Amino acid sequence: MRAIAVLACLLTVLSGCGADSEQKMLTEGARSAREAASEVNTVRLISQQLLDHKLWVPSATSMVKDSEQTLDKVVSSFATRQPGSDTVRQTYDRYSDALDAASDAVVETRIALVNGNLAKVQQQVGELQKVGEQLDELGESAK
Amino acid sequence: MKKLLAVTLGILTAIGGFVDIGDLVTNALVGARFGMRLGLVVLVGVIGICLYAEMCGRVVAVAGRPVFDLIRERLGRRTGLLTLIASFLVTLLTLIAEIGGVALALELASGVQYLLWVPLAAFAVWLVIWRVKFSRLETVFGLMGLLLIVFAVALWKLGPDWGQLMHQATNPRPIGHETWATYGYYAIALFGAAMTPYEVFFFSSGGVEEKWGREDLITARANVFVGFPLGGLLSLAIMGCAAVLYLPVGIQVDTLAQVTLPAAVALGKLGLAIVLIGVFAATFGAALETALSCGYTIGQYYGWQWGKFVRPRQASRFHLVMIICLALSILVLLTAVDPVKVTEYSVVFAAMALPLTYLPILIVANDPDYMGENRNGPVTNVLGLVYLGLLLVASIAAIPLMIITKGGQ
Amino acid sequence: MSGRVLHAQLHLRDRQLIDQRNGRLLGKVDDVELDLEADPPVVTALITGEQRIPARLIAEIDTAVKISNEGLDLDHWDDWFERHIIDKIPGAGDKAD
Repeated sequence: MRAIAVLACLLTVLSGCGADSEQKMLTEGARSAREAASEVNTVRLISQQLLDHKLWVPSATSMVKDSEQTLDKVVSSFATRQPGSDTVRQTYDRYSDALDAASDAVVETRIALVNGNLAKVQQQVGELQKVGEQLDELGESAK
Repeated sequence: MKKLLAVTLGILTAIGGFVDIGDLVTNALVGARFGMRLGLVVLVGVIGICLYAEMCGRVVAVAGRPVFDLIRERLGRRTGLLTLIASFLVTLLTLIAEIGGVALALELASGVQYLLWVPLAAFAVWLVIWRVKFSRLETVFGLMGLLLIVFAVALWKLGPDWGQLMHQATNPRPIGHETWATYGYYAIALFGAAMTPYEVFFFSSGGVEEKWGREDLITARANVFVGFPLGGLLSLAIMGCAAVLYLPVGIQVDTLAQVTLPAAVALGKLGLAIVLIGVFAATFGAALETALSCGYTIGQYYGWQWGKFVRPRQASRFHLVMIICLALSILVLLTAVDPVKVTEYSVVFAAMALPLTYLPILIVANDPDYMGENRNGPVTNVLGLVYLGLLLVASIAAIPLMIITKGGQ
Repeated sequence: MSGRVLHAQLHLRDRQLIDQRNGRLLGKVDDVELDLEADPPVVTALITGEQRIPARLIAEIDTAVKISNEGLDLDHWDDWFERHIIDKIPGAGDKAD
């Protein structure tokens, strides 16, 4: 019984009271970045098809909403991570900022779609491209 | 001439009926993550379902007994009950996924949120089961499901580098951020999607519904040996579309929208319209099949009167089971659980239930009492045993891989 | 029937019971009652659920067991659910079309 207690204490200490180490933060950040990139690229693809008259607005809107929801989950799940030190905090911020930018870009695209503002959608395609490339890069920063 | 028409119709129906929400989601998902590197598994799965569906068809045509009759009889009451619970839960989970798929297809077509479509879809499934003749529901939804061929056209229109797709298919191994664990996990999922237990429950019970005799053996075999492989080609086309469009840009498939999008990219609004009707028909048809299979399995285990060949009041418990299952599906889906996630899990759980489903079929197909001269030949038996081994491995590996990969992450 | 040698476990247990008259499905053979005094032992009855089907009602043993449904109450639950639920839904007595 005591052995288990000691082991539990040791594990708690080792894991830094539940905070993430640099390596863990990198891995999780990269994974979230890849998942976010997937949604951002999807929304870009959908917007492009809409502009090319290959999709109806209602279908495009509901497709984008789907991606927005998935992205929300990715962002909020990463937001619950706890950086254990200042260096880890920097890593955390780097991923977090990119994820927030992805979220903003997708939300703005959705609003433009709902408002039928195709010029804005066109503009967002460029923005999504940029955000997507940044996420792709972050996604490759760790296994 | 009339005979030929019937055979052709059967084959076309089998193609359309082969693909359901599990095949749609799993193939697209795998294509986006692995390209065609898991394509061989689809091939292996299709051969497996052909092998065992043919045995089922033969047993029904010769002995007139559907699959779950045999399961109870050969495995006994206890093991039979265990199999019943496992198969029933998997089939119910698949039913939930299919109804979710119908609702999602309607959302994509209308822009109206899928949760609003869920009760309507389930009610429509019940109404069709309640009122429409068996042969008609099978043919109508099978033929409409044939529209999914648009995926093959889309793939061709996307103008892929065929050599590269071939290269992927012949190099079966994980790439990039994927590990052997995720690779194995999705191999099992594809296997489960291709060989889902309800397919044989439905196929064999359908044989009884349509009163197959020995003279129908040719039709049954044509359906299986031509229809299912062509259905498998459709699956590969879905995988191919995702491999071409999504793999290079790192898009992972987690919505039904992403499954259908390649048709829009390749063929525009018309392509999307066709694919949406196809997805609707395929999932609606599969919802009918799984709802009926829920009734078939329980009815056949307990020996109740089942089937659509009698009036609903004459098979009251059979119909009650289906009503309860559909009501449960509505309740589960209204908790806002993601139907695509339900689908992903349903195919893996299906893979786990496979050995218990297929073992009794193999045993009875060898029983001279039942089958007389129509029992299995040596080649069929060797293949049957090889597949049983494969199914066993997949079944045992499914849970550990699910835990290690956290459900394929 | 008399004189046919059967493996009760393999040929009777867990088989489908069918009404010889109209083909209705009547349940499964849950157990077999044997007279072990006789030599060789003979089947005296089949048990399904709470019901006992005397051997004389067995008409044919094939891939299923056909019986004549006389003086038995094998449809009890099916009738119960029919009366209380299914019959209340419109179209319960219609043939599908």
